[in-house]
Amino acid sequence: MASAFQKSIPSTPVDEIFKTACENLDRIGRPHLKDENFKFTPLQDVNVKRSSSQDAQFSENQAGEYLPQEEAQSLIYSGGQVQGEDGNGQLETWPQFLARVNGAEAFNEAIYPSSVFEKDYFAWAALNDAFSGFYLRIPKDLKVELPLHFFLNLVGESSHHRLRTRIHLEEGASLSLFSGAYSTETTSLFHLQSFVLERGSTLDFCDFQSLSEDSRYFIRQEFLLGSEAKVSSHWATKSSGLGQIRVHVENRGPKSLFQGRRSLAISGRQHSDFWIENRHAAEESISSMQQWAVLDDKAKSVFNGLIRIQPRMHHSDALHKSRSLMLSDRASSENMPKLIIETDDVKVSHGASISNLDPEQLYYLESRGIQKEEAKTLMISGFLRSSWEEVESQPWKDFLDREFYSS
Amino acid sequence: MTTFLLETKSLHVSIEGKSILKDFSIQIPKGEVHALMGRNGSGKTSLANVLMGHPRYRIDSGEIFFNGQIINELSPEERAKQRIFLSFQYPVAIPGVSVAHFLRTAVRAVRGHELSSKELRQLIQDEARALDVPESFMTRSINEGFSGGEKKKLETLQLRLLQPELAILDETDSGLDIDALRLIANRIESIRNENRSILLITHYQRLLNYIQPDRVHVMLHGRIAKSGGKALAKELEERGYDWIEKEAA
Repeated sequence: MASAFQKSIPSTPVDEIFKTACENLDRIGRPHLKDENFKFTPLQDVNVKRSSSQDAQFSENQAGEYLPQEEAQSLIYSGGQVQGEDGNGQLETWPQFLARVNGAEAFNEAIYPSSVFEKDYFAWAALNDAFSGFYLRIPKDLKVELPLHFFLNLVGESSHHRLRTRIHLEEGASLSLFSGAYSTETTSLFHLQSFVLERGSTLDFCDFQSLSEDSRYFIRQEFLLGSEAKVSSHWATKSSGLGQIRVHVENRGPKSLFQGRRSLAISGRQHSDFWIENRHAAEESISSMQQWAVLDDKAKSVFNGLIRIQPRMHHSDALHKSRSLMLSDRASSENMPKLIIETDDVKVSHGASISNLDPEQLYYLESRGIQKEEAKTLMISGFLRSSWEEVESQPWKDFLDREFYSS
Repeated sequence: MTTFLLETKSLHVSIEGKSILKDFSIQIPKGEVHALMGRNGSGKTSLANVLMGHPRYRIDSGEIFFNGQIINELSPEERAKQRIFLSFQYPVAIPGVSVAHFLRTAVRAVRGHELSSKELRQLIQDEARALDVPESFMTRSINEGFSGGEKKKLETLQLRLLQPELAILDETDSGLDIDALRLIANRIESIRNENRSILLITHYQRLLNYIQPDRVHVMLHGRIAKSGGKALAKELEERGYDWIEKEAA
């Protein structure tokens, strides 16, 4: 018998759900900003406000239970399970848990789509019927030493997975976050993410998707940077059916820095959209976004970039660049750069290149005895690897090497 | 009877309909070093690429014999496995492919598994040290952001590791300062033996001070116009190419 949880999964067509999600997200008020100090509901207040409904049970004492002991000492969050009763008194298990280490706090949602929360207090969330997600706050000056990993293994043929997360780094805090989504079945993933960085905080973020060719993903992300905050973000998509990532980056504080990179390798009839808006709302702020795409068969990539420099935001520096390596005549790459510059004295540039495998590179490798197919693989991998050469975390680099080299 | 490692017979080669080599013939016996000189555009680099099997060049007629076998139809990969090596004048950059990974792949491809992984690592380390190549070099992408000298060192490192029977060195001396030239020339000279032949393409006598050629050939308009002993290189340095052009006419 289907549980209330299962019953509540909407049968609405995916596009319609996504449209609604986007509309809801657009209506969200931006987090309050006053003198560069972002104000949010403290975690304890969030807990108080949490619904008393028995539909949602949170097991805080499971922190670290599913981790090797040495990792549990430092990790804030990782995969695990939360158990709770559904509306019919049946025990439900779903993959989330809460961990609290080194003073950092994570709050996981594992809620029913029927919405057990009041609609207005999760200011960051677009959907009130998200299945799960988490809120993570890194307190002032806390440097999280080990990376935090968030893995989504999407199971269930024709299932929908909707998540909302919010990462909040207080002044001077730092965090490395790896978010990975996997599926071998036909699934849909909706992920709404908000990253808020206060003055001098640092985020190293890697977002990875490896989904089946029939799957869809829609990811909307927002990065708000206070003064001197730094974000290094890497998106890596190995495969998917139809996917769209829409990113809004706002440099709100002076000397804030956003560096984005994306690696994409798709084939068949896969389609990938990457839309990004880099908005400079502070002086001397820097942003860059670069994409490396490998497209085979009839795959299509769209890179839609907007750089917006607001009035009086002098000495801003922004770059968008897209590189596409075409392995087939039928693959296509669309690049749509847009610049809205309302200030003098700024440095803004954009560029796009589309190329095939370089025959001279191929000849060079072959002249060293390397078989043509192996040489091509080396070149393709090398092209993609260029995108993560500057990723600081060696384990992440190794992970990306493994994922893309093995394909 | 002399055994030729490389022999070309009346080679006619074109690229996109333009004739590059015209009735080009050369014979290089095993163990000899031959220098090939000539004006810019005379066809020296084209010859090097034809010998290595560059797919853009079309052999219209004539044969290339290597160890007595015609290799006209062999791919660059097959020629490399037969132990032909070309040190490129302008080696290309290949972003994202590390030098270390590339060297290991190339040595395995050409020499098979005659070396264990440990021996291979050690060999690469030793050869790199002998060429004054820093360890950081190994993690960089092939030729990306390399200076002219670094590129030539990487080519020479490959030459040493791949142990070819025929080494074609296309202006290995260009872009090198005096110390680097001496270092690289000594590493090349030290691989000379009775079974290995070298075709040295150069514009300058200075390289030939370190690597003494057995024969010197002068190439003009896609064919060899004059051949001689090592004294010919010195004569060219003093007199230029005009007199050879007149002789050939």
